[in-house]
Amino acid sequence: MNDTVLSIQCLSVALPEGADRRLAVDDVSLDLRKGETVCIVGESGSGKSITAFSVVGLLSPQLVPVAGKVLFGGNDLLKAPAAEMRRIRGARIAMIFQEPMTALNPVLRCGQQIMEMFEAHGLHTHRARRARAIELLTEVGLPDPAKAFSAFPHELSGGQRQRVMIAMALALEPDVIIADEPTTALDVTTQAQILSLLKRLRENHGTAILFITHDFGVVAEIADRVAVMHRGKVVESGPTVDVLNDPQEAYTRDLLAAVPALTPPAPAGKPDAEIVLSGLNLNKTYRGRSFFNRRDVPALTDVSFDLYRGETLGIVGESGSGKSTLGRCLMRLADLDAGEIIVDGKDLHALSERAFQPMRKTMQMVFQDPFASLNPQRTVGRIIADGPIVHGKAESLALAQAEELLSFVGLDPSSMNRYPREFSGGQRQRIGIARALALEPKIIIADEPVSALDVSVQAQVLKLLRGLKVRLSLSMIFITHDLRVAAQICDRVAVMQRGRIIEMGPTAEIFSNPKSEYTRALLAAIPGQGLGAKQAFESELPA
Amino acid sequence: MTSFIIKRLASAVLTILVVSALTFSLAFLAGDPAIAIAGKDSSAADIARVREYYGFDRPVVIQYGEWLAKALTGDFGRSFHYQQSVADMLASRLPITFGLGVAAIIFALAIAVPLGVAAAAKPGGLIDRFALGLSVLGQAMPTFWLALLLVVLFGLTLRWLPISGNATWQHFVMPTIALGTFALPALLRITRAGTLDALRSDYVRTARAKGLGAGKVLFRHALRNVMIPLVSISAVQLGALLAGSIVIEQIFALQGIGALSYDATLRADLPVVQAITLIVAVFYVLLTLVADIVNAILDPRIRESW
Amino acid sequence: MAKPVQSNTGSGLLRRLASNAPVLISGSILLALVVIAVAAPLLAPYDPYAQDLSRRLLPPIGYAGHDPAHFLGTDGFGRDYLSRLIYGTRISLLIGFSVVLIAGFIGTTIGLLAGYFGGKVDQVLMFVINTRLAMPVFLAAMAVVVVFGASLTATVLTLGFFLWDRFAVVIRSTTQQVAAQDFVLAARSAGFSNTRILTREILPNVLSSVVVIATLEMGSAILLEAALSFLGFGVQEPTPSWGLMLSQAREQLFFDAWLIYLPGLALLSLVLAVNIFGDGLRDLLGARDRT
Repeated sequence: MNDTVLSIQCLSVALPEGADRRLAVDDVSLDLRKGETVCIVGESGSGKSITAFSVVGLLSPQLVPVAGKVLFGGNDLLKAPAAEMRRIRGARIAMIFQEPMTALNPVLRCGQQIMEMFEAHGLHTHRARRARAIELLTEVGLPDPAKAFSAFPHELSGGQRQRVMIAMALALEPDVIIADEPTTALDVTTQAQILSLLKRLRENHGTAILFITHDFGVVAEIADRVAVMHRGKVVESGPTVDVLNDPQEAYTRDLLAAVPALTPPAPAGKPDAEIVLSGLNLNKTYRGRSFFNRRDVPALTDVSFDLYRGETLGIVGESGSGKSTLGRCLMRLADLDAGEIIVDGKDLHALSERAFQPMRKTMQMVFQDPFASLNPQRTVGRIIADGPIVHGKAESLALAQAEELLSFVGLDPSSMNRYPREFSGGQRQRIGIARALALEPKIIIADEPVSALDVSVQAQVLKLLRGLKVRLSLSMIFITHDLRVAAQICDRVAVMQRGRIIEMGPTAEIFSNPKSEYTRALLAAIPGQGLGAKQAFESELPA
Repeated sequence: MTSFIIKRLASAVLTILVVSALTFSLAFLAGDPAIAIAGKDSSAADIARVREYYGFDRPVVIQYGEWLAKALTGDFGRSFHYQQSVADMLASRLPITFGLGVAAIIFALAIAVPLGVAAAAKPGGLIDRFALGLSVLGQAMPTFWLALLLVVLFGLTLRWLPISGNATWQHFVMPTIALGTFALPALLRITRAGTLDALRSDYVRTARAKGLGAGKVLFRHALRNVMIPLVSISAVQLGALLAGSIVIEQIFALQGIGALSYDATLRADLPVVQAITLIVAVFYVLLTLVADIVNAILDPRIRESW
Repeated sequence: MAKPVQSNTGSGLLRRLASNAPVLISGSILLALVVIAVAAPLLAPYDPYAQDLSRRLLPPIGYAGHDPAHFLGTDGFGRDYLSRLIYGTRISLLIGFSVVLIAGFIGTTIGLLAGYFGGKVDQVLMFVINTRLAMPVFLAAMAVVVVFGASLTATVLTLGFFLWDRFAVVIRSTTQQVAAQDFVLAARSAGFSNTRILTREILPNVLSSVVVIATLEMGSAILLEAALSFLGFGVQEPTPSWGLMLSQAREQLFFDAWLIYLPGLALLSLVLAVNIFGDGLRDLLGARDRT
């Protein structure tokens, strides 16, 4: 095709010695045509970002392209001299990164960082650069461009920062924009806005976009064509519609099947009437502690709910909605300002720490970060057995129980004497679940337990949680930002916004007939609505 | 910003009060000042008279309060040994020590910053290894031994530089090098580590993705972020140099407050010791305060957190 | 059933240690110096205190007038220089270890408490730390010596009670980072006591920092003792301290400059070995914590 602007041909990039495989990128070929968006999609470690960074020569020094070509404007960029690459970067191939907070220099004003685009390529006078920067900030939809111009990055929200990054990328009307997970760090509504902004800009400017993502929903929203990567290789590529609807490769099919569908499964049975936990008018405010910034941030405002025996209650919301604070307050890891937490007829909030200590067994938590939630200096067996030992169980009994729990969550009992660092993210999350179960709680509070995991691993961990809940007749509070996950695992859902529960009800009802404006917006913002499979949780209970 | 400074000053004043109270009581334990003044061979009656005359027989707290009240007006009393106003003695000696400290920190920065940046630009390279060697060597070097070696080499063997006194600028060359070497390792390490961090950061990657040249990436994006820890460490190091110049002033016979504090401690000259401790504490607290303010100017996030 | 993804690397630390040349070399030097210190009576050719005023200031090997009976010559009192250097190793190492023991205990405790409890506890302890930082160590050490008299014990106690600041500052911030991690929350939600959380969950995770600071502070302590002794405020005559030897050598600077070379070189090599060992240890432990 004549209108191909960028052509990656048989690219291979070597990993440093001692990595799990020899090539990070293995014989990858990909074309990008004028005005087209191509997504590279894959799980972590698939080599998708390395492929993108090879194009602009921004690989970290230990990664070396060893074969192939990157053709752009008739030149092989892999062989281009440094000065030539510098003229191309920014001007003809621009980039947008995942984390706009760290990608912008914290000590320089946003406007100055945009003006640098012109300065780097010797364009315009200072006055013209300034005017263009303001124009660009207007074009990317910042409400007050002049203010954004003189703002420091930390003074803007995540979405606004990403708009600044996009303005910067657009500055010199590049032929190609490479976007590396540009919406991953953003809330779902913000993500929707950024995706539509990128679509609009592509139409107005005819820029080709190479878009890196792990999210098939995003692929469905934005891509014309898609390439699926796995362990350094492109396993399947083609027009988005074909790949998503009729995947040819088993790997692609598995990945797509692991994406939770937005339509909830039919309710399993009649809900139990026994209430195991009630929150009554829970309130908490974070007080601004710094000298100037004395703004008090309300994190929970009059939050009330009941948790029934055997149900999973989803707490969904965007960042800052107070959902994680709620989980921590229930566990008394953070202090409530006011309210009652009733379990077994007792108000936990009113108990002294000493009186509460034995009650801690009733509720246990599963955490988000599989790396930070296990003490790296203790063996897995100890991590699981410590809790029961503290609550008075004999050490030998506790360790024997830990071993049982390990096989219960699907890990080899020989893991007992190993350290957390020897396990993968999904395995660590299983250890964290075993630790929570060790105290034989009635209630599990799971705070984003699958958010840090790849989609295929996520499906397995969700399956485990669901199975355990049924077998042990646990009640679960499931905190998540991901409505797809909530749709598949929760019996009821409470939607939180700015510290309040704005809507609560059976999952199917909330998803099919949302009452509040906010819930509707939240649901509408989810990319790739029709995508995903109902997750067959019940079929496979752990042995 | 003003209210931040007020708050910081309040805690600084409290720190200084505690330090001065501690040294006052310590110095008070140092032995009977009356004996020191009257002389070891004086009769008991003479010592008692001296004690009464200076008011040493009253409770410590009252004496401290009195001393503090006077110190606030700039009156640090009279030296027991020299029979001179302590304030006058300090005024004549402070410039020497302060000048030496500033010269030493400039010497150290002049080496540490370019070397640290060059080392970080190519980790593991020749310059990096040299910088690492220099910082390890500097850290392990006994300052007073280095001073003695300098004296032997430049003073006695080559006869290039004068070895004692503070008459000309040449007298300050060897003290500056010796003291500067003491400050060098910390500055070198922080420059190298900071530059390395900055060069690996996302915002430097962004700057490179813009097509900015290496120079601008380094100076505008990386170094500005390196300066923030560097300013803090420099302030702490300068504070340490003022206190650490005791040995150096002794060796080179510089008449600064370091040498004075040595004499005063030997002779249990309480007013002088107290005044010097107070001055050094005030300097330290002021320096860290200035560093915080400079950093707030450099980094908008620090400004925000005030 | 799922097996761990990575083989056990328990012996990895030792293997890395063996392949790290700086750590190996500095470690061997340190070990050798410890052996010299312990076995000083066996190694020293003479009694380090024995004076022989008829054989004063004999030059070391390589200088004119060298006496083969005294390999490294004699000092101003006619004492064998090599023997005094050997015994000096004892003083420096003794000071280094005991000061770090005291300072490490004080500083680590303060750092752990301030970092873990935060809030008011942190504010009070930070004030204590800042006050300590505002006190000039050297001046204070001189003053203490004047009060309690100069001795080895006085020097150790003074430095021990002054050099804890770096432990406190670093352990405080490391503790803050560790305490912010979810496994500490998990421990709290399982009902662990604060004591248990501090000793079992947090301390093992900050221990590598403690060890690294300990080596650096040991170097500082050795240098400070030498400087104090050099000025006459540390270890006193006739104890063989390297700092003291330099102080006496200084009086002969114009005539017998060689006297200053060896004690300084001994001091430099000891501190160099300690610091390089500490740096290497940091890299090794750091590498382990990252995986």
